[in-house]
Amino acid sequence: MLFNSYIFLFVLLPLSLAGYYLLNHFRHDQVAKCWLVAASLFFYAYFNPWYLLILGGSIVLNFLFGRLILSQPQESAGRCAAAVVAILLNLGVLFCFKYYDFFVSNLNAWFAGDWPLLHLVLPLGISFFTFQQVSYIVDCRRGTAPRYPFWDYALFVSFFPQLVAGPIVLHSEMLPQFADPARKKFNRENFAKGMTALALGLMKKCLLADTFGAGVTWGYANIEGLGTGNAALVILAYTLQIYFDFSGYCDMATGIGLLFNIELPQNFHSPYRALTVADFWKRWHMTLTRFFTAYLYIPLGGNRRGKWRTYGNVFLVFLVSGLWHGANWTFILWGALHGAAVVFCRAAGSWLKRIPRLLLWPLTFLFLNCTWVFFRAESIAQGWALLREFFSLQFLHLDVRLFNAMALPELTAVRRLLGQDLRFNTIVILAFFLCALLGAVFLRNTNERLADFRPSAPLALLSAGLILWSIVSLTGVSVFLYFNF
Amino acid sequence: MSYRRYLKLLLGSLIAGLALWAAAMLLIDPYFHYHKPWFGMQPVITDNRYQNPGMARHFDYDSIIIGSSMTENFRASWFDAAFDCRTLKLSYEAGRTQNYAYIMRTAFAAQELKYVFFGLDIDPLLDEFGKDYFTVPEYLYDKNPFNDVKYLFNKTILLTDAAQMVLQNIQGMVEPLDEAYTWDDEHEFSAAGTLASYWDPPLAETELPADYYLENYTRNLGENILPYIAAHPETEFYIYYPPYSILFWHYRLSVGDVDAVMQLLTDTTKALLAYENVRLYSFLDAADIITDLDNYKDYTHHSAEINRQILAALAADAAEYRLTEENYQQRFAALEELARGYDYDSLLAAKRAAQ
Repeated sequence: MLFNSYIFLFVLLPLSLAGYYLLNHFRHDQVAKCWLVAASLFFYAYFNPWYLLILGGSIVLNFLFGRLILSQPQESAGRCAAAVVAILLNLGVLFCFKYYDFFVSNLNAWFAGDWPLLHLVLPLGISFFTFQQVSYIVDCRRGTAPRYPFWDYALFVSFFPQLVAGPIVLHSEMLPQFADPARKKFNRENFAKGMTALALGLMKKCLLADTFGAGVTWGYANIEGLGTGNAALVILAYTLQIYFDFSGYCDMATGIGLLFNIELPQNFHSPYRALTVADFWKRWHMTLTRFFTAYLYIPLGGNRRGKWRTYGNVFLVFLVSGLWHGANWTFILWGALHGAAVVFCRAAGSWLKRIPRLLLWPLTFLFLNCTWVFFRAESIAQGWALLREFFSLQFLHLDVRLFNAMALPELTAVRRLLGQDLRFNTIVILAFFLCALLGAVFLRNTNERLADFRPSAPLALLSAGLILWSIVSLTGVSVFLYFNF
Repeated sequence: MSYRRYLKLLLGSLIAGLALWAAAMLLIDPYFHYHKPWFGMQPVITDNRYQNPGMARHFDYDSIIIGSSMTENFRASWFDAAFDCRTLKLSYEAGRTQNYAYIMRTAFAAQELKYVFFGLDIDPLLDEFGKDYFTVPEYLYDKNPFNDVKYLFNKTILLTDAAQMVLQNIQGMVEPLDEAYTWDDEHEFSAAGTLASYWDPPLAETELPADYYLENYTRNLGENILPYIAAHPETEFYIYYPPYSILFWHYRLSVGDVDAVMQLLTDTTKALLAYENVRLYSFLDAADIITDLDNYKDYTHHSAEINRQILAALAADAAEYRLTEENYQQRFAALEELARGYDYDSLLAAKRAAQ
């Protein structure tokens, strides 16, 4: 199920909220937790009931391994071995579903082999819930995770606001909240903030990301002959699409979490404000960066083993991050480019600080745009083809088909009402690009807004309007980009 | 402002907004999903796949025209006059047999039918069973009331078709229902245009086996067409094979499936003639029509004038077009001879020289 679907907004969300608060009101705490787990499993099974076996199996196995690890003496070989087995099992399942075919098809290509592929359908969110549980297992081994009751643990992994596309939450920030009696009562302030964040997220996803997405789909299907101008728009459209898509999803997750009085960690902090690529990674998918820092970079030695080893660790983390995003050479290249850029930022740290912001920001933003091309492209060759068009310095006419692909029905209705021709679309959509970019950079982000939230009538009406406008925009093709990661 | 008032205002205006939106859709109902037009509005017809189901359920009629785009230029009024009935046209552009089955099921559920006028094409019969070139919006086709949310809360429908329906009615610019789905005034019918649009593929070197499409047409016919004829003996089915231009047969020669198409026609005809409530006509071999490319806009689609001739032949029960147990084999043999023996090189010479 998607957040931006009728069944979620009209059925699952109201029912799960009503059931949760009613059960808590009558002091059935345990049943209320089970109710949320059941709602989360339904949310997950709605994609494909068979996925439930993987999610359910993963929760039960990790819970049991957690217990096993905690029952062993600290620093004992048994504790360490149990943790290693659990981590290998988690990564093994992830490998089978996500990477086996990629790995084998490359082996087949290199060695002219004919090893069979599995053709498994990737269970949604597997990368997210695998990482969450790996972090739990590691913390059990380190002795920093307590013994949790089963239903609390099951809720930590399956809690539907963060189940399929993050943020990647830690047991230490979620489970105490589930146990906190103060959070089991309906809280008007959190509910008001939650509805507003949900409205902003829906707007980003349904009205902004999907509109840019239509232009991107057209652009990637018609790369040849785009010329610099059209290619620039297609590249920028994807840069904006992926930001509004993923941060919109996270805003919705934040909002839905707050409706249940649960605070999810911030995942985006206006990433396109970044002045360097290293800065970007402190603002983009922050919980992933946090995970890799705590569970890969620091165990590798972090920055404690000299300059060159640090650079190597940083680069390796980004390679793994690229691969985490998808089983394709495009993602590995994307990760490698970002890894190289972050290493460069570290090496040139003091020198970079002397460059004026007005020069640094465009360079960083250009780098982000160009690397997103490989993130979106089906192959490295396709990515190069689009970048070649962009750097061809051939300034052709802007292609009207790009604007037609992005013309929303409301734009068409207004255009007809004003008796304008198709040039109207071009002007409005170019303005849309500019406003969206300026908004992404200069407007306060959702978390900043929630931090100093002040209820007002205009904000209430705006939020209601955005939710309504998003709901009536739902029918059509709408798929979250971050599902396959 | 307190959080309580904020939430009341947010949730209250959201619920009110949703209710108003749904009410507007329910009242205007541009796809006639719930009712025929109210408030004296005339229907504005734009899309077969979205509007046929509602029209079939709620409009007043006692006979229907079904088929592909080849039937779209029929005017229902011609049939009303010739057959003394009240006809509704429910054609499907690029229609496939599941579209015909659905719309027959829906129309028969709404009332008894006097006549079904059915332009039966070759392509939907030979195509893979269930294949569709345009997906249908399932919320308008199934009986699930819950997925109606996709209709009730859909800005594309409210801002385009619903708004158009209201505006055109206010401005008094609604096209008569008789003109629904017609396209003859949007295209030029000429030999030059028809030849220009034809891609002149090379002829096949090998012929596909005669039973190449057997499984497809057996299912298309047996599951989506014959059951409705059998279930409604009180309804008279006027079924006809349309006149495709001679270039259609050049195309079949390029595919190498003339034997397979002839087998399809023979088997389909045999099956249809078994029903007493079927009158079957073939215009496939109407040489005067199909060899005159001025009647066409491309290799298959003919002008409305040809639709008129077809209607006249159906109304007069013209023996030269009617297929019977006695004549159909001979008619198809003659058609095959025409298709295989035609001098395509002369027809296409000018086009080839220009390339």
